[in-house]
Amino acid sequence: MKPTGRHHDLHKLSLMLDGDGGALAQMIRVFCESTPEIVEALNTAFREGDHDMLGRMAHKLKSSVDLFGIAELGASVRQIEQWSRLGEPMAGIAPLLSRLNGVVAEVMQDLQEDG
Amino acid sequence: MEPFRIFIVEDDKLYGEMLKYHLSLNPEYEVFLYKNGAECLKNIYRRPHMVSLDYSLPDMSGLEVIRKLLDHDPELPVIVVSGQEDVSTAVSLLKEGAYDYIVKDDDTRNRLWNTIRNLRERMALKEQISELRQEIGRRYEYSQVIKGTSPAIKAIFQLIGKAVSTNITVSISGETGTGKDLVAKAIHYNSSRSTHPFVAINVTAIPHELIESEMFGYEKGAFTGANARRTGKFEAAGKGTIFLDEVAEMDLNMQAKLLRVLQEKEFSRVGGNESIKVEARLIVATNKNLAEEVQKGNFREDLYYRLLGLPIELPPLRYRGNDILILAKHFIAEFCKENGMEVKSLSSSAQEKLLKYPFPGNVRELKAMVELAAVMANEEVIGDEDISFAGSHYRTDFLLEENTLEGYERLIIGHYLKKYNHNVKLVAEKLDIGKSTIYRLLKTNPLSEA
Repeated sequence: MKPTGRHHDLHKLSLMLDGDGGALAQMIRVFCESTPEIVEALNTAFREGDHDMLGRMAHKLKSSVDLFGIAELGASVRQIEQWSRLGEPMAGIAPLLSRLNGVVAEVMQDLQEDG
Repeated sequence: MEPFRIFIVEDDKLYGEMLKYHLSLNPEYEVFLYKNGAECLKNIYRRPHMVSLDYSLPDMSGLEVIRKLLDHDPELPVIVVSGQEDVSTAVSLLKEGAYDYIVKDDDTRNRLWNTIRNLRERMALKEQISELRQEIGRRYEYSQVIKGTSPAIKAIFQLIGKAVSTNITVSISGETGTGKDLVAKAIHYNSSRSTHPFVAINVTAIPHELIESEMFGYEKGAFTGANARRTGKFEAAGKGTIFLDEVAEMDLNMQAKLLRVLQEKEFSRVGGNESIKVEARLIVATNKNLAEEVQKGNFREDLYYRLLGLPIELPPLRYRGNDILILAKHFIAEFCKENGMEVKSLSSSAQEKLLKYPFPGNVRELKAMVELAAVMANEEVIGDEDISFAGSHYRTDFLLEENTLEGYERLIIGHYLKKYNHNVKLVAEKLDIGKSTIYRLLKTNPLSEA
């Protein structure tokens, strides 16, 4: 089901929605609306060294990443959440975050192209 | 039917939409989605039946939202859905009054679905129970239970009223079949204890050696066969009412134990050390005269005074005059309805026959009698021939007959003549009267036989 070169996989989400196309479109719309806000908040928190906010935003992104089958980010978003809670230095988080930014941007583009 | 309103409070928009979508598949659910605590609380006027609450909200903590929700409606089930698998958080939330705790993962929606289904079942059961309780309450409204307008029974109503409004121990006495258990239930179901259990113990129904464990329960291993702890009737009654029927039959050993419990206001299970407080109200009943039993040495005097409390002495049916007919008509109507028969009436001769009978078995006997009569009667009206008194009991109470003094003389002499094979000399001796008196009565009018 996963088209080549795509980071996301809607198979699971579609199953969860019992194959309801309308509901799937609605979920994609909500994802496209809410994800940029979360990613932006994540980056702001990183710049400001706000561990607490960083952890909370990562936590929030986690379920979206899982629902949309973005397997590549599953581990990194959890890592960011855990490190933020532990107060790890921001420097360690930087590469994870930059990877996350890239992948999310591509997913958004793919989803919008499909829509 | 009113839809089942569900609030989903979830700051993760996507996740919230997922849950909303999933729950909305059930057409009976009306689902509202809110992204923070303030929005949820602002909409509380919609009166949700259940709230699914994300624990980490942007504006206030989950705990804070739970408290505010429960402040508003202490019965509101709040299911906490959280990304953290933290047992201590879960426990503290449950202690705070949350209904359930679900960890966010792929299976959340199914678990939430199941939790809501169980919740709805529970709510339906609860509603049923409260309806049944009300029904029981209505059934035991005392004017419904205890029928009658005689002064004797009106005095009983007054006493029940006093018993209902206080916690005093009540001792009910009265002949068999006068309705002692009904009075006990009427007191319980009309008192503030009505939502707690009514637990009846019939002392004669339990062997003497078992009564203590029956009343107070036992610990595992207290005696052979005690394989597990068992709670007794006193514990089961909680803040309700304990009804000790046939209390005069309790043996002296058990009387001493009961007295101690009543004095200390606490008891222990057999074989146990833990003291359990007695919070229930006590109602006792007996068909014996307890004061006499005390004199005979069958009943402890100190216990007698403990139990006496507010004494209610139920009048025998034969002293309740017209109540006999009120009750008879009530039982006939009830019986006919239950058996799908047209309600039958009582002929005036049948009514007269009932009024003359002494009813040694009281209301219980009357009930059995008129039910049989309703079955036996071939027509709409129950005649006196349909009413048969249980053989050996049939002894007309003289005083109910309302006769002249001479009439009574005739009845008595007629009875004796029959008994002694019409031997006038012997009867005169037995009654200590002259033979001439008997002959005089025989001459003026043949004697009727009693």
